[in-house]
Amino acid sequence: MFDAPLSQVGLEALRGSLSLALTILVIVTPIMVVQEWLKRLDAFSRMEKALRPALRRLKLSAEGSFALIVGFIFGLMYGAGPLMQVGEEGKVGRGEISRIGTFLGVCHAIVEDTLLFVSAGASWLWLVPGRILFAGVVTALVGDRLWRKRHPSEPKPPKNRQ
Amino acid sequence: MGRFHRIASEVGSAVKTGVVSGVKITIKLAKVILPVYIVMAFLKHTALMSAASRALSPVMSVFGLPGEAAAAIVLGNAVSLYSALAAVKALQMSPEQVTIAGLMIVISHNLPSEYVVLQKMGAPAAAVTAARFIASLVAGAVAGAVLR
Repeated sequence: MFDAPLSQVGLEALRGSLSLALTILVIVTPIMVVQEWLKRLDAFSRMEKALRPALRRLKLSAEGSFALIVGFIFGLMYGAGPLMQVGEEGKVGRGEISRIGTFLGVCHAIVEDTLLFVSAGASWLWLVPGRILFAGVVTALVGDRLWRKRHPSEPKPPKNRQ
Repeated sequence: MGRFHRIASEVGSAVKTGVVSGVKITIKLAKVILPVYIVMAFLKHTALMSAASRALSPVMSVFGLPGEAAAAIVLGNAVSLYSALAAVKALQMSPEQVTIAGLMIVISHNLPSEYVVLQKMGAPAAAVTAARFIASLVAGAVAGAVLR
């Protein structure tokens, strides 16, 4: 049934899977520590302030920029709290949420996702600059249109605050 | 001295909370990764896998990937990034192939659970999910053409 000795296959499976679990422990734990530290420093609102001029040129509000930064770094799952807050508060226009959602859909959890696949042998050049580029292109192409196609009768999003 | 102590205790609490959640996450992930990896490692050496791999190789060759890499792409989209990582590792592909498969998987993964987050944040979740899946195919084809 197997094209290699069963003991050899079994040994590889055991060794490989345990080493992968160990790799993940080694990668995820420091990320979580740094993340906790950054939270204590209030680093994300600072980052949002530093990037504000650039993000404003992309027609993003302060709330939207904060969500974008959190999702970009933490991901959709670990960043779910602040991301869903954006949806609940209703301060950010639908077009803007659509653009942020499109960008983040393609490109999120940039540290964790990248480290995991780089540890498996992938090139970070494709996983970081490449992925950001693809996300930017997809967002520019369809980000603004996705929500209007589904809700053609809805009014245009309110003008961003500030 | 007071300031130093405050910083030290903050670092201490960040390390503690971070390590605890790191270990918790790893245990949660290991429950997915270990079975997926072991099943894939055995499947890799079966006639079933080589038949499926042969059948899918025309499709996967668009991305410069072997047929069996389809398992990693499907697992990534339907289940999780971690299960796809386990499959990629177990299949022992070349670094170029790991890059191509990795790019496709980081762009499009965990579709059912991330759909929920996108929806809750108020984004057009179905359209965004479709867009990222298509983007992963395009990115895979581009990376495949360049890295082949």
